[in-house]
Amino acid sequence: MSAPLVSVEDLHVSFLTEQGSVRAVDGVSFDLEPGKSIGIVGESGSGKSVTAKTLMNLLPSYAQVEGSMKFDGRDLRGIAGKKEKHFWGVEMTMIFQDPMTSLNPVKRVGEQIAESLRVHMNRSRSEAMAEAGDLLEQVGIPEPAKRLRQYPHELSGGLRQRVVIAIALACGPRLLIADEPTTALDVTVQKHILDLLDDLRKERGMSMILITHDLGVVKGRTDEIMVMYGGRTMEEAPTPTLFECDGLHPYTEALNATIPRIDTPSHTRLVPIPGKPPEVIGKIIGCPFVQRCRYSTSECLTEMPPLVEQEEGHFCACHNPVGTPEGIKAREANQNAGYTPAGLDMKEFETSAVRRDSGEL
Amino acid sequence: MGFFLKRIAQMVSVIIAATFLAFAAMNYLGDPLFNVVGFVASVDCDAVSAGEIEDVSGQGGTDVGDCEVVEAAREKYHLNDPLPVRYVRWVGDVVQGDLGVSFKNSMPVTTIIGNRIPKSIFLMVVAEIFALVIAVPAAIRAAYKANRVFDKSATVSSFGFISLPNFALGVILFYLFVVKWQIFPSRYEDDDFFTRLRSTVLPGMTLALPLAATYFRLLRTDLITTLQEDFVLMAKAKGLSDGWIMFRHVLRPSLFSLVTVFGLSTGGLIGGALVVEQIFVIPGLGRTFVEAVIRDDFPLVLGLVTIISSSFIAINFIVDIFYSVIDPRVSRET
Repeated sequence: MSAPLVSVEDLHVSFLTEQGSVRAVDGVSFDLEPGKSIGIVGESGSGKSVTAKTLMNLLPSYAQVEGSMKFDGRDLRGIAGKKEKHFWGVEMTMIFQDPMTSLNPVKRVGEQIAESLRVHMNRSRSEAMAEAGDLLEQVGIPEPAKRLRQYPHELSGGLRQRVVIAIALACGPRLLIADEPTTALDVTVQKHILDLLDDLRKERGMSMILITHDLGVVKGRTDEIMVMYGGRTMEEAPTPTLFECDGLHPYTEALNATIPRIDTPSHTRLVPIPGKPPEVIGKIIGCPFVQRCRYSTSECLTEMPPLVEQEEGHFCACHNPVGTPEGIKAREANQNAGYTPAGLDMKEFETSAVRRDSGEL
Repeated sequence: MGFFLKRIAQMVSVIIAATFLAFAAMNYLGDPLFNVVGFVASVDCDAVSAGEIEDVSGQGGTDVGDCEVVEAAREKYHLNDPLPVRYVRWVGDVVQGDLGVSFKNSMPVTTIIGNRIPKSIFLMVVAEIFALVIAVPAAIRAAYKANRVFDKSATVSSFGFISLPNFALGVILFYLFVVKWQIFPSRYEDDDFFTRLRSTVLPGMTLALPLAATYFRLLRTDLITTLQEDFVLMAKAKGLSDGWIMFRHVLRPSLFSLVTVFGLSTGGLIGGALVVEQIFVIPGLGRTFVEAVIRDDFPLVLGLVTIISSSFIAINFIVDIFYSVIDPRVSRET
C-alpha cells in the first residue's frame, strides 16, 4: 500500500442561500492511491460534482468548506490560499460534462491546448503549438495539423471532448477529475471516450476521479466506487466487490436497476427511483434516502446510519443493507404494510422487473 | 465575395431611399423656387402674360420682368421637370462629385460640408475614445468583482450620467472648466492639432460621459454573463490566472452589445451633436444641418443627408464585419 495521492477526510461543503445554508457535501472521506481510479456515483444533487469542484478550488466564494483535503501530503486549502501559480492545471486538472460549452467558442482549438503549455511549462508559441499537435494525436484525433487551426464549432461532440482531454493532459497532471465526461455525448461515442480515458490513465500512471450518475460507466473501469446521496457517502467498495453483490445499499441497488442490461430480455422495463433527491437545508436527522427507500424502518427516520465495513473493504451506510437478514425483514414488513415508515407507497416499486433477492429476472 | 457585393447593393439602396425621401420632403414642404428668387416666386406668370393681372411693379407686386426671372430660375434649376426626373438628375450630379450650390450664399455644398465635417469627425473620435477609455476598464473591474463597492458605485454613477441631459452636463462642464477654473478656452480654435484638441476636450467629454455610462452597463452585463460560462470554469481548471482568463477568454465574446451600440452612436455623431456644438460654439455639421433645414436650403440639406447616411451605413457595415471577427461562428453570409 503506497501513500495516497489524494486524501479527503470528513469534507463538508455548504452554500449560504436566502433559504438557509445548503449542505452539498456532508462528511465525505476517501483516499486515492497514485495510478488508481475511483468512481463517484450519484444522481444530480448528490454532491459529487461539488466534491470535485472543492478539490479543484473552483467553488464560488460564498461556499463554506470544512474538513481536510490533501494532495501528495500537501494541504489543498493551503495551496488555494497561496494562489500557487503552477498547481491547478499542472498537478491536477478537471474535465467537464459538456464539451459544447467547456471550450471557448472564439478561440482556435490549437491555442486552447497550447496556452496551458505556454503559461505553465514556459514553452514558446511554436513549441506549444507543436506539442498541442502531438497531444491531439495521442487522444486519437486524425489530421491534428488541420484541427489545431479549427474552431470548436467546426468539430463534432466526440472530437470536442477529445480536445478537452488533450487540454487536460497538456501539462501531464497526476490527477484527472472527469465530471460526467460522456453524459452529453452519443452512446456510441461514450464508450470510445471512456476507453480513451482509461488507456491514457494507464499509459501515464495518472490517478483519476470519474464522476457519473451511471453505474454502467464505472463498471469494469475504476478500481473503487463511492456511491453518494444527499452529500453523504452511502457505499464504498472496490469495483469488483460492489458488482459481485450489486450493491449492499438500497440506493445502489436502485441505481443499478436503472441501467439497461444486455442479459435481460428486451422490453424489460427499467426501474426509476421514486421521488427526487432531497435538498438539504439545515441539519437533517436520519438517513437522507429514507423518503425513497423500500427497506426503511422507523429507525432510519431518526438516526443516520454510520458508514461501517460490512465485509473486507466494503463500506455501507445503512441500517438494513440489501440481502442481509435485517434488510429482508424490513422489506417484507413494508411490503405487508403497503407503506414504508416514511409514507412511501410500496406500489411505486411494482414496475420492478429485476429482483435478484426473490430470484426472478 | 458575394457577401461584399450583397452588402454594397444594400448600402446603395439605403442611401437612395434616404436621399429620395429627403428630396421629396424638401419639395413638398417648401418651394425651391421661393428660395431662389424670393417672393416673386408666387407670381402667376400665365395670368400676367395673358393681361389678366395688371403690372403692379414697384408696389411689392409682380411684373412681366419678374416673370422672366421666375422662368429663368425654373429653367436653370429644372423645376419644370417631374420630381423623379429631377431626383435622377441630382443623383447624376452627386455621382460626379457635385452636390450643387447653397441657395443662401452660393457657396458649393461640398465646400461647406468639407469645412465643417472635419470638426464633427474630430469631436466624434475624441468623444468615442474618451467613452471607451472610461467604460472598458471600469466594466472589466466591475464585472470581475461584481456587486462589490466599485461595481455598485460605478453602476449608480452610470445611471446618473445616462439620465443627465446633454445640455445640463455641457453647461456644468463649461462653467467649471471654462468660466471658473479657466482651464480650457471659451472660443473654438483649430489653427493646429493642439489647439483643436484643447477646444475639443470639453465637448468631447460632454458627449463621452453618457456614452461611457451606456457602454459600461452593456459591457459589464455581458462580461458577467460570459464569466458564468463553462469554458471559464474550464480555464480556471487549467490553472490560468484571472487576468489571462478575463483578457484572453472573456472579453472578446462579451463585446457584441458594446460594438452594436458603438456603431450606432458613432454614426449618429458624424451628423454632428447639435446641443454640444451650440454650447461650445463649434461650427460643426449639427448646427449647419439645423440652419439649412430652417432656411430650406435645399441642396445643402440633401448634401448633408447624403454624407450622413453614407457614413452611418459605412460604419455599421464595419460593425457587421467586426461581429465575425469577434466570433467565428457568425457567418458573413447571413
